[in-house]
Order: sequence, then structure tokens, then C-alpha cells
Amino acid sequence: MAESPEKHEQRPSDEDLIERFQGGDLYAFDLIVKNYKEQLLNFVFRFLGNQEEAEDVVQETFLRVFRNRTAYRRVAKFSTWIYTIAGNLARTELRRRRRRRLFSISDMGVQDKDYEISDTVLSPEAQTDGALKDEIIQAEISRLSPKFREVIILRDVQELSYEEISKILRVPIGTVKSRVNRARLRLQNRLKHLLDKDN
Amino acid sequence: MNSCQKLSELFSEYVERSLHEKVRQEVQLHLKACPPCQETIERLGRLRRNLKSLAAVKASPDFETVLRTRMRLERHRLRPWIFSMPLFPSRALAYALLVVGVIGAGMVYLRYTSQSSPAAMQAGSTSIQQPSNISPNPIQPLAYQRYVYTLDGFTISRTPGAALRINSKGIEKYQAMQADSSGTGGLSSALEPVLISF
Repeated sequence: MAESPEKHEQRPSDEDLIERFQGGDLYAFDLIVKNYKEQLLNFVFRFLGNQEEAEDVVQETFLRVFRNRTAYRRVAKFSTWIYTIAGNLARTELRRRRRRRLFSISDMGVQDKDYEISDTVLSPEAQTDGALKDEIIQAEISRLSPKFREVIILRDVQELSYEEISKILRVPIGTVKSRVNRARLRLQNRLKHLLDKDN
Repeated sequence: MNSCQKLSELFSEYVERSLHEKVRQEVQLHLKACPPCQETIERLGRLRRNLKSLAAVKASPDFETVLRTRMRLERHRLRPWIFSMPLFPSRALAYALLVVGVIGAGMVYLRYTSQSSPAAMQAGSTSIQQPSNISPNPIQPLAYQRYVYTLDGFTISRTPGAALRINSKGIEKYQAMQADSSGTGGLSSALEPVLISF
């Protein structure tokens, strides 16, 4: 039986797509959006902890790619380039949010206060619920400092290699490994109650 | 720093199984003798599994619609102002008018520049005038000399033995072609500085 021609069609690489887009092919840009929309959204959402803000940052990321398409050179992986843009925008958003909070609720005095979950919510029964477990983990991720937060998301949620994370953040691989280790140790310590139940 | 703290720096690589065998054995040896570190290692493994299985966030249904709208606004913002005027309903018409305008402006410019320097209308000719710091010469110039200017210098078609110097005002020529008093068209040999402007 003859195989369908689509089976042999090779999926264009991201680098091919951006080159096609640089040449004026808008359909290639649509494919880039389709390929990266969800993974960037997950990265930024885990970093900011707010879906609306995350969507706004991801849209801005695509707009930057659209606007600065000629700035991309094939010497770097496209994924590294787009993650760098998204990461920078997410950090900017985080700083902006902190400034806003400083002016509005300066008396709270605790970082990322709005992610703290009250003790009543964290009852042992409630913690078994999968969605709530995700929320608790997300809340603890949000309590990490941005430099630990971004490495643990990129490594353990997005499952990127240390090498790629090092290129995205422009820090040495050794620094990335060290930050990942410290972030994991902090998280496992704060999530003891949850992780021990998994046993 | 105690051995637990020191070895904890290697825990991530231990759970990722990326440690060298010798170092790995060293960590294992410690773990056997240290239950708290053993528990930490177990929790780290569970933490990684939990992080990996966090529910993926889905983009809202209007994500792409909003993005396309923002892109259209972006393109509109970057468009030259002429295309945003309601006067130009079609882009082709606007381009055509722009091209006609540029050509027209070019023609007007050429006409204006040629009228302002009539000497330039005569092919390859330049006017010769006395600079203000030189006393007027009683002998009138016989004829304009023919000069051919090039991009990186100039050549003079007929000034044998003339001394030339370029300055910001033009070219100073230290041997002007001048008519003698007899009016026969012969040339005097006197050196007289004359400014040639162009």
C-alpha cells in the first residue's frame, strides 16, 4: 500500500520558518505562533503566576519577533532567541508589578503576597486534589526569587538542557546548575508536607 | 561546612544521574549513613516528577485574535502617515501618487537649479570672476574657458601651464586667460589670480 505523501514531508525547522518569515512569508509566522504559543505561555505563566499577564507577555514576545525579525541570525537556535525575549519581558513585567504593589499596598511587606495560600486551604484532605496540588506548587515556585524561579521552570517544567538555559539567561552552565540545585532544595524543603504524602 | 551541606551541592546532579561514577559512589556512601540526606534525595526525585507533570496551561480562545489585532495595529503604527489618510482608499493609488510626486519634485528641482546658474546651462562651462581681494583687472576676459569636472578631481581642457589651487570657495587659477589690448584674441602672459567659482 502506498504511503501518503504527507508522511514523507519533513516538518520545517524553527530556523527555516523564521528565515521564510524574514523573506516575507507570513504563513511561516503563523506556524511559529502555533509552535511556541503554549510552551511560552507555560513558561511565562509559571514565572508570573497569572494567566492574563502571561498571555499579554507572550503576545508581546510574538510582536517583538514580528517587529525585529531581521535581527535574528541563524548562528543561534530560534528557541533560544524567543525564550530570551519572553524571559526578559516576563522579568520586566515582574518589576513593573512590584513597583505597582509598592505604591498600592506598601504596608504588606511580603514579596508575592497574593500567592500565599491560607492554612485553611492547605488542609491534608484538600491537598490530595490534583489541581490544588498544582496550585500549591505554583505558589511555592512564585515565592522563589526570580533567578531561581526561571531556572527551575526552564529545567524541570520546560525540560530544556542546561546548555540552552545557559544561553537563554546568558550565564555560565555551572551557575545554572548551581541555581537549579538550590532552587530544588528550597522547593523540596517548603513542599515537604506535600512531597512526603506522595511516598 | 559539614559533609551534608557539601554533598547537597551535588544532589541535583545525583538525581539526574549526571555525576561521574566515582563521585556518585561517594554520595551513595554518605546517603547510606545519613537518613535526612536520603529523605532529601527522595523528595527531590518526587519534586521533579511533580514539576514535570504540572498541568499545562492552555491559551485563551481569543489569544490569536488578540495577537492579530495587535499586529494589525503595529503595522498601522509603522505605516507612513500618507497611507493612513482617508484620502487614499487604496494603497496602489497612494503609491502611484507618491511616485508622481517624487518625479514632479525632482523635475521642479532640476529646473530651479538650472535657472539659478545660467552658466551651468552651457555644457561644461564655468564662470570666471574676480575675487574681492584682488584689484580689478582693466583687461576683460576674452572668453570662458572650458573645464570638465570629474568626481574625484577635475581636468582642464585648455589652460597650458596654468597654476591651480583648490580652496573652499572654488579653484584659484593663477594664470587667467585674458584678452590683450589689441583685441585680436591673443593671450597675455601676466600672472593674475582669478577665482573660478562653480
